[in-house]
Amino acid sequence: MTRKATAVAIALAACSEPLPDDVANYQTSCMKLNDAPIAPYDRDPHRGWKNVYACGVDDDRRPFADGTLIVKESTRAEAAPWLIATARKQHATWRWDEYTRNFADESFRRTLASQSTCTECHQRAKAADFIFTRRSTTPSPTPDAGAADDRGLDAGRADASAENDAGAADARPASPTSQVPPQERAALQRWLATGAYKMWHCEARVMDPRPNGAHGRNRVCSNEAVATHGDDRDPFPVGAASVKELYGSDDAAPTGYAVAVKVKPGDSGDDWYWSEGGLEGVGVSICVGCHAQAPRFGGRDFVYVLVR
Amino acid sequence: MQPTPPSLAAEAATAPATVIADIAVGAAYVARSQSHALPHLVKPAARVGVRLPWTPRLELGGALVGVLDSSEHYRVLGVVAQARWAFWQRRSFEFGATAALGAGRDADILHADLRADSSVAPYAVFAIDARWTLAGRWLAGVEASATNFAIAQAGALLGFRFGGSR
Repeated sequence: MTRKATAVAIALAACSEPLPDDVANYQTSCMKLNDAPIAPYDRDPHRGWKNVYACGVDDDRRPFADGTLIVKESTRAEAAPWLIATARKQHATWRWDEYTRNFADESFRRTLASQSTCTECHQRAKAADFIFTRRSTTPSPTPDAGAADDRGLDAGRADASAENDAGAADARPASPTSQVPPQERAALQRWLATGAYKMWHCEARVMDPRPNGAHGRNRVCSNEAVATHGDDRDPFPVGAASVKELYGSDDAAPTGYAVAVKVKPGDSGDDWYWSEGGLEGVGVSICVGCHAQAPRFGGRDFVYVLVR
Repeated sequence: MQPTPPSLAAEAATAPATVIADIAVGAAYVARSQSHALPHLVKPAARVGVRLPWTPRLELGGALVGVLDSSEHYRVLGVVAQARWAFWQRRSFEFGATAALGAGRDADILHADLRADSSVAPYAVFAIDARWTLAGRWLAGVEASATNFAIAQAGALLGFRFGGSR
């Protein structure tokens, strides 16, 4: 009886462990593997927008050495992560742990996630030493990037597609990268040319200029993060994006594009990457100045038009 | 429905005014929690109530209900008017069901998106209990309840009948 009580007490104590000290500063002391945040997908075990960090290593060389710590953070509507998953390599074996919380101002606590559940899923990345996400280079979509997205394979985006492969063997979602436009002009232009955004939530036709509209006739496409973000009191999460096709007098083909991508958590215009014509960058003042008025015209968080 | 034992009905009809005060203390399961960690899923909870027997089966009164936590996100605290119906009675034991309506603090944890809409929220509490009468005036038992379909609570119940005769 005493043994049972002790075992229960130990189990309860173990499942309430806070985040270990060596995990606390992962954002500054570890190497971030992915480039753009990894989008949520169907049956995502770490529901949310994810970033993955490797600690105690200088590069992404597989297999990882003993002592390597992999940290994955997942963020939902709120600005701060709600989940931190860790993988520690010791004696050539990974130990998996998950820490969660409900509110940004409370401590993470360890969950009762079993080793076998984690191992079973990560088995699919066995060839990559059980870690799906690889360090990404700057996304460089190829002309057939759309097709690559369909296959879930793209050498430059192995992080995202590998994550997808893990979670959606029977219901493949869109590649996360197809949900987040590149934030560099040339790469963005190539990405727009692939038409990947046309798989988003798009308006059915070209619309006449809207109130306070500065883009003439246009058609808006909202990515999943914008289209499915339900709470109108919260800012959009990192990765939220809109593409606006700009049209002249005829609707045959767009004459240009305006793109907005949320790149930092928060509710400021400086949290968005903006691109239109020769304007490009984070917090472009002319874009921010106008889009700040979006809530007055039925939009929110610097987005005028939300297509669902 | 089980008929009221004649002895209980007669006892209630002839007894002077009685007040029943009780307290239920236990653990609350936080159904809206998105965290899977035990400390975020289970919290201490309590209910303190005072009721008057209206009929042999029906008690009417009020209660304070709450989740006891230092974090304001989880701090559920409300005042409700409650009606308890004893649907199965014996001389020293009964099963009861309670419905209660009132208002209280609009805690974040009551919401699926973990965001409170306002400072005050309507509270609806449903409970079932099993209680014994001990030594004439004391009540002891167990109670399970749900508050706003967001907090499920189970715990021990202790009460006392003030006034009336034994």
